[in-house]
Amino acid sequence: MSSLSKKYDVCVIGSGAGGAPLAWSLAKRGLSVVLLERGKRYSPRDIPKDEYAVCRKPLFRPSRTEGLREIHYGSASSLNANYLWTATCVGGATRVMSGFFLPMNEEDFAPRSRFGSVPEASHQGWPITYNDLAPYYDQVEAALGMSGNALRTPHQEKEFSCPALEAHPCSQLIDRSCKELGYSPFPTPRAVLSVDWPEKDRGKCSYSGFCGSYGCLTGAKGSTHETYIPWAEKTGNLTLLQQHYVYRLESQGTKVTAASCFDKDGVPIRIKARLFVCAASTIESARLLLNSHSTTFAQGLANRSGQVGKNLSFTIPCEVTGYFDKDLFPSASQSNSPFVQRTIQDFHTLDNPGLTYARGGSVIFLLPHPNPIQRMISLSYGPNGKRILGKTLKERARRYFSFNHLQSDSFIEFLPNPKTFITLSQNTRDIWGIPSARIAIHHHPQNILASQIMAQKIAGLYQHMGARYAEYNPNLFTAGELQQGTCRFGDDPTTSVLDPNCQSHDVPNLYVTDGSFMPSGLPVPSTFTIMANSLRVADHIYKKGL
Amino acid sequence: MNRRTLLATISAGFLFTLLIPYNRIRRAFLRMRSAGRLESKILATLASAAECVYPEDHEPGAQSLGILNFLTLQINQDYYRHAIPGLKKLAQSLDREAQKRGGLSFGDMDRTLQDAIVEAVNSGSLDTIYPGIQRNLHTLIDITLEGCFADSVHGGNRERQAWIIMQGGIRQEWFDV
Ligand SMILES: Cc1cc2nc3c(=O)[nH]c(=O)nc-3n(C[C@H](O)[C@H](O)[C@H](O)COP(=O)(O)OP(=O)(O)OC[C@H]3O[C@@H](n4cnc5c(N)ncnc54)[C@H](O)[C@@H]3O)c2cc1C
Ligand code: SF4
Repeated sequence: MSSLSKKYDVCVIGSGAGGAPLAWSLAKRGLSVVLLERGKRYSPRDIPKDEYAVCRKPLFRPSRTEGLREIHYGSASSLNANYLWTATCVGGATRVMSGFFLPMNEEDFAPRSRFGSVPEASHQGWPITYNDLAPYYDQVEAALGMSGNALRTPHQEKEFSCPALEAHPCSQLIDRSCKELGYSPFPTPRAVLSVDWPEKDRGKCSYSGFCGSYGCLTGAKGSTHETYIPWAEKTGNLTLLQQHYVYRLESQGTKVTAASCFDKDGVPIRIKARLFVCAASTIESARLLLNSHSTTFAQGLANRSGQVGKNLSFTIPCEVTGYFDKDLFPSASQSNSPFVQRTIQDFHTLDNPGLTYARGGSVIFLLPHPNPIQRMISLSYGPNGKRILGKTLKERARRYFSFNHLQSDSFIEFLPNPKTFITLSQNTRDIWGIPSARIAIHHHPQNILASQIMAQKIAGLYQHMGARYAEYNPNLFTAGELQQGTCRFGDDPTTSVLDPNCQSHDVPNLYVTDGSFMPSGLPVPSTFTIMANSLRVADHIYKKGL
Repeated sequence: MNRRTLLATISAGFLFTLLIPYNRIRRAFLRMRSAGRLESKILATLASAAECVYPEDHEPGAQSLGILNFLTLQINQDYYRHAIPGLKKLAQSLDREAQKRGGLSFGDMDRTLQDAIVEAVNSGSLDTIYPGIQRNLHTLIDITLEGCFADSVHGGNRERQAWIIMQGGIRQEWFDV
């Protein structure tokens, strides 16, 4: 194995939401930073607005040839290539996100104090408060040029630097009905530019209509590929090594000495640095630490607590689709704006006698994803998973498309529990011979109930808006790309992997800054918080010195 | 023999010894690949079954949307490699069942008989005779819908005719600077 002779100050693994902001923050202050990224750097033109090539195949996730993951979902088991991957490319999943960016509220930092504990759930309070993160939310906001406005606390509203994006006409119907029902809709905050930003070389949104799952051609989407990465490169202190897959962190005693990786030709290389930051995504960072076991850390690097890979959590989407007569609002192809641009946060607390853990989440309204293949495949599933085909399938499709649809995605905290975790697979390895992740997922009964209660509330709103009917997707797992919790932070080294600054309790020169640090799920999409925290940790590292 | 001829002979011999294993490996690799490929006869059977999945009525069905073309272009690519053994088995089982029921291959049968077989497979009632056939049909349903509803550039969805059924409910064009 060859070693690059240079020893960097900081080596960051993963160029997505958790890695790139920190890499930029340290590079701009003069530290030499190497950013190791498994995926390719795609130019905007490499990313077609093509549902087959991008979403089905899928362009941004590893192919089956690269390796399979072992998935255990309830009682079903499978080997899968691209399930639960965020995205593998320079920019990580920020490259393909929709950019719904909502901050946490004060009470979200202490879910147990606010909503209580639940048997069989291991969610914890955060060791930091809203005030620790607030300045960094502001920094992300200013850097990305976010549009819309944010409810910072339930009572305090704040405008962003860009005006809200243009909204689809159905937003007026939502506003009217919500007000009649006593809810407070507001324009969804987005990490998407609504106006040109020539000084940052980014154009405004062209309302392409193919946003979430796709790359952005104008640079409007605030992915790290359009923002923190090029800015860090401009400092001259960042070396970005794309298509470098880190498979092990080498350590001596309690210190990481090098990141061992394969380059795009499969040649093993060792990268040395004084400090290492893992930001390879919630599942892959845990896998990397577990694969980096040594004599000092027999259970995996930084895993004296035995908590690496535990407390894996996601977001429960609670997808409800409303069916509206075509004359109520224009269809997806008839409107200039494909964005509904409305959010409500009136269901953060659910008042239902059957629910012991009364935490709900934000509801974001949107038009269904513009992927005709996925839509038809969904229509080919009947009740109990039976497949529908032939004339019946066509009739079903015609009936479905005789309506206009409005969809809501909710963000309910997935309660971490002892049956949801990642370990290393005993049977499956990737193409490089490295043990794959074995992912076990189990839904907490309180989550199933919360999702149903939330669905009823949203269906009630649709009915008020004039919907013919509403359909609830009982699949609690369509938002697997929002992942948290496998290296949670906390004050107690016996129950957490990281300290409140995301530094390993066991390995002083190791930090973890992707979604895995979170000790509980969020009632909002998590990327805004991951980015803000990444900047917070960078400040800590810089102030503390290497 | 002068030095130059000697050197040339040695290098040719060396290259030859290198080429033998290379060619052997290459041939073995090609054999392996062709074992995992679907030939045109199988593709034709699958295309007939795809028509039962997404049939023609007053709007086009899988065949007239170009499903055979899509399968020919796409099915032997990496994305579907894992599905190939199952699809092969599906086509063979459909043919065997067709022979049993009507003395013909599946593709040559009357459409109503084809529909009856595919319905039986979908209901799971033929799984005892052809283990795994229902699962393999489900794979074909996904591939048929991919072929019919993907962009025309991938070989199916001729002239984007499949999208008509969506009545404007899905944005088909994208706009950019
Ligand atoms: C289609 C889609 C839409 C989304 N929409 C939203 C949204 O609207 N709002 C929101 O808040 N969130 C959204 N998300 C989720 C969001 O993008 C993620 O929460 C966020 O990017 C996670 O940050 P991360 O740093 O943990 O991981 P990532 O951003 O995925 O970054 C991890 C990076 O590490 C790299 N990597 C992995 N393993 C290795 C390795 N071994 N060696 C080197 N590099 C490695 C990966 O290639 C990747 O680039 C969306 C995600 C998807 C996929
Ligand atoms: S142009 Fe707008 S809609 Fe299109 S990908 Fe970029 S941010 Fe999304």
